[in-house]
Amino acid sequence: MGRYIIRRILGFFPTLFCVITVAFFIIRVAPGGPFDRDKKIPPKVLEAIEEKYHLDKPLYVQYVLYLKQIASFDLGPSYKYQEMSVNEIVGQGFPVSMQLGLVALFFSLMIGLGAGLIAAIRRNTFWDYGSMGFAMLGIAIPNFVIAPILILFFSLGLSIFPPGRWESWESVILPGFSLSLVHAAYIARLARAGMLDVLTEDFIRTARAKGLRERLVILRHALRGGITPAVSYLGPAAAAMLTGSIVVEKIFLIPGMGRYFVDAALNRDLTLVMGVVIVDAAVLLVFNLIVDILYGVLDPRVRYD
Amino acid sequence: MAEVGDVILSVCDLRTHFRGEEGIVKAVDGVSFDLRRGGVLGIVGESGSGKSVTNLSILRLIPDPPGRIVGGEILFHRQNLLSVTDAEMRKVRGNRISMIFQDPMTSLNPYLTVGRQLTEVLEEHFAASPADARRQSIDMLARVGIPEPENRIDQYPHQFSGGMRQRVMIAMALLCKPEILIADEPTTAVDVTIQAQILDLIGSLRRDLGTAVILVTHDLGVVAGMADEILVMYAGRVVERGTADDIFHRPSHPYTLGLLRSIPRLDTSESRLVPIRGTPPDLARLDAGCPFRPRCDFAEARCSESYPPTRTVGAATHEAACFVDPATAPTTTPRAEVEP
Repeated sequence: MGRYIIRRILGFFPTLFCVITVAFFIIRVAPGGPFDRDKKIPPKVLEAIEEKYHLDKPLYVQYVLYLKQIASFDLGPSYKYQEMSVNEIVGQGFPVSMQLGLVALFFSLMIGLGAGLIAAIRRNTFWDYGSMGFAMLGIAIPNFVIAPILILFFSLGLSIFPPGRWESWESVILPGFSLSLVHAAYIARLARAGMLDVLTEDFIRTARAKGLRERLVILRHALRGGITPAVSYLGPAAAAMLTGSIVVEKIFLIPGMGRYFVDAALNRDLTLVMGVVIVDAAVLLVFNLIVDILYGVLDPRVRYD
Repeated sequence: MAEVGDVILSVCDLRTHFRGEEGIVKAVDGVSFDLRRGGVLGIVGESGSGKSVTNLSILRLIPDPPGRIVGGEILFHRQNLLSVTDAEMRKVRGNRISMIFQDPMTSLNPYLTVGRQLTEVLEEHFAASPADARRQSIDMLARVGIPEPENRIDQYPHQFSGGMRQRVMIAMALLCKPEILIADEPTTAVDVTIQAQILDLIGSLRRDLGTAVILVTHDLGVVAGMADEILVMYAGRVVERGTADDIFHRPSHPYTLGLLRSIPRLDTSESRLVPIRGTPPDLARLDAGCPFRPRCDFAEARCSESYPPTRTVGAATHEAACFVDPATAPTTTPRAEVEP
């Protein structure tokens, strides 16, 4: 198990290298550059700037220089936010997005697994239809609709939670909930389907034939197998929640990573785009590894070799 | 052989139906039998004849929907199991009546150790302490012939072979020293060499513990040596019942005769097996007549008019539900004329 984890972590590096390479060239294929402005910059000034950032050199030289820089864990200077390095921007935004993402992950697991299990156990009852109807809404309604409704109701109406900003623990509840909803909905559907599948297994009949209480049949015998499909979904879902959401962060005025996704790309802020891509890829790799380890925890037949 | 005593389980006119897309499937339709303390009852029939549904009904394990026990009584020590509460039923399951299933590969939970699956039975029914439950489980594993039980108890089912898993299932079923063991095709999914071992094991445990056994199988050879009484089921009903002697030496229902003729024999020079032609009927489309008549060599006009009454053959213990006696009646549809 320890060897497996070490091997997987070593495997991160070639994967990240591929991601960096592909991203590096794709961004440069797109038209426009970081210093294109509506107002023409004097050619001399532009030349000086491009020389400073090595943008005057051939592409392969830029690539090699960038790789060297990355190797020392330096994501370089931001072209747009001149006063900050990409490391600083990520260092400020990522912890905020991650806290928000962890809260959203927690909500989506609680709501999703809860609703999915209840729906499966009370199949074809009000509880089942209610949970699955809720899940359909969660998938269908985008969070730029959910978020303002939540603000209207809980902030402006009931004044329980602040309508925005990143100040106290209460600030994280509404954005966390809006961010979690769509994932909660998918998890609910996956958990329901997984549980219904397991509940038809022969070993569940055996457990009932042994005279076990239904609670034990569900929790001890069915749960592990039943939530496996939901756990598979958790890797990409957690990565998506932890790396920040443009919409939710904009609506709730949260200084996370989300807004840089779009802003950096629109500004052709090449180094910042690369920084965001690398951080996202790393988070995704880590969560996929966590999910693979969880499989082994859930199912003793999974072997690591 | 253990002393065969009073009737402990009495199934009367059991009817279990399933609601399907094509109508009501009468999987079990009026089955009755008695099981005596320490006795062995064999239930024989093809797939879909209602053997397994009968036994799942006894433990009320029929999934509802789509299944439902619509009639009859299951008297266990004169108490009707069909009218007790779910909580009372749970106290019977795995404790006083336990069951082993056909496929040991899928009937054990792959996510839990064998020990967990054994000890939970004792914890549930006797509130045994973990240490005590573990000790008893190890003893029982040793008793069913699992080598090194103190090590193997901490392993998972996938670390056991098929035969060993069926032994684990048997150990699990016998932990609470049940009065009745229902073995639903216990040897169908294991190797032929293991089959005899499993049957021997069930037989010896039965003698030691005095457990009554209901042995369900589609293989007449399996019940031949063990059962005191044999029920032959077809299309949800009992078509013939009798002692092993009655059934093997004087089969009185054409279906039983067909089953016997399709078993390979060592004592005759006849090497060709005679299969029962046709396929089992669609249980959703049964009419008033005998459901076996399309496949029967002795079918007559009256067979399509009403279901034949049960008649006693020879000994009082021997009954068959057929208008004719295949021992004396002429065949009405000679095999040669039947479509291939």
